[in-house]
Amino acid sequence: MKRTLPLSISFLIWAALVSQKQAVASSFQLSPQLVEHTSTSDQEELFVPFTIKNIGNKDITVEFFPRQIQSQKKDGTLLYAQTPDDQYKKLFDTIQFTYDDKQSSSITVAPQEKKEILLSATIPQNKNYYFSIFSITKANNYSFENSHSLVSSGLATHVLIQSTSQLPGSVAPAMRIPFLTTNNSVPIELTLANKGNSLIKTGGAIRITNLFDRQAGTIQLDPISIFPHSTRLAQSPTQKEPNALLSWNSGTRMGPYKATLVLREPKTNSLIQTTAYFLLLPIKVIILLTLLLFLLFFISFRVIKKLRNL
Amino acid sequence: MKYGIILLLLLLTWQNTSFASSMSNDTFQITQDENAEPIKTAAPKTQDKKESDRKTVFYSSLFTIDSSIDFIDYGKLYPTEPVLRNLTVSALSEWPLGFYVSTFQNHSLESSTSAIADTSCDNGSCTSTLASSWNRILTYGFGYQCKEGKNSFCAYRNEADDFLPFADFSAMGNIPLFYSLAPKQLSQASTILKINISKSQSKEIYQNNIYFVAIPRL
Repeated sequence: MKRTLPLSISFLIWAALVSQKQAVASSFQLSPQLVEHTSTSDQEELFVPFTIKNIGNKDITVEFFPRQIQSQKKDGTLLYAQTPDDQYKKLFDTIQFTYDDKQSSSITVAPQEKKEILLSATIPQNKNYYFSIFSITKANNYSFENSHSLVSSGLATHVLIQSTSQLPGSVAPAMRIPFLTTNNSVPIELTLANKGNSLIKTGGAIRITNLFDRQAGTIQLDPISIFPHSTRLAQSPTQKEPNALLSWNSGTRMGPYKATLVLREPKTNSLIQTTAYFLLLPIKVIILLTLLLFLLFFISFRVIKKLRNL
Repeated sequence: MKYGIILLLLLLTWQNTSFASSMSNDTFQITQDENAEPIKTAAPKTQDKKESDRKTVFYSSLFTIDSSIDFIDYGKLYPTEPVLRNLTVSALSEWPLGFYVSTFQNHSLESSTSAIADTSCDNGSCTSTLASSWNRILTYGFGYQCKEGKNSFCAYRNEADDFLPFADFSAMGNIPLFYSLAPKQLSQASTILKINISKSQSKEIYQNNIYFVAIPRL
């Protein structure tokens, strides 16, 4: 009796612990992140295999939601339509997910398991379609005695369907640099507008030259996608902070400079250029120069005075 | 003296210069001089580009999301006693352009008969895209704030008392919570959820579903 009592107490404690709801992390991997499809005719089939790996410690059920991309904000985030328009509705109605030869709108994946689910869709018309597939975990159905929020996590995949019948739009760059810069960091505001009906992918560089057209520096631009009727702010590869402007470290340089943007024009596949002029007058260098001049002036004054006295 | 200043200015503008420069159209390479590195092409950077057929191209790289918990228990709610809860969202992506994490809810905290309204903050001005101060005990509602962690940048003002209400389900993907700042490194941010109810709020169990979705930037 004495031996069994502690055992039964331990069992009761263990049972109480197990019966409690335990908040657990949910974690998964998804690929691909981007699908680009070139559409050539109406009623074309699209197939996208999605791979989901559960890296958490409990089963997850992932559901899929297509969302129409409407445009893009300046900071690179996307603006999704609240409800798809008629064209997208037709496309979304044809989306089917197949796992293990069976149609399924969701997929359950065990811990450390990897599964592939195939998206198939029929592109209604030979037009451009831009959308994302949101893969979101289904919330667990616990029973609660208190107020609560269930937490779901998800990952998105972009699907960009470009039609061969639609010409790429042209890019309209606008580069603004303050005319006078008094420190060694020159802010460059570069916006790229797409006024066409097709997605634009472009890239390029800004070349900084001095008064004598000699190169003083370059700024490499990230490859940029600009959705129809959107304006993007260009950012350097090291600046992922939203709305952060490009900047050029001018060091101790001073004087007039020219910035030339060279950009690939997707419509004609040629290079386009735009320029901006600015003046560098770093305060620190100016103070140093003034002191130096004063010193020179003082020394020369003393020397001249001594020479006169001779 | 005048010539000295001009000479100095010329010397300063002359420094760190290269000589020959040329541009090319076919490969989009701009060569500066013999010793300088050519400017890289503007082709998209991808980790693992596979072509399943001629028409469809898939871009895949490591992309994971992790939420520290899968439910938040607010306990028993008492009038004018704010409840705060914390959860951490982490995401990792090798996508070269980075990503952002978006948040939304399926609906406000609801019971079978009533609901806790989404907060509009102390001055009634916060919205799902604008954070504002919420520390008055007589301001009721449900909202959240973002706290930056590793390699993350909160999308909205996140001072100590700043909160905002969750966007609803129809805004899926439109409201960023935080941006990743370093590609290929874990980005992490905390979300602090706050509930404060009034005396007139019926004593029921309120529930909703909140979502965190990582979206690659393009």
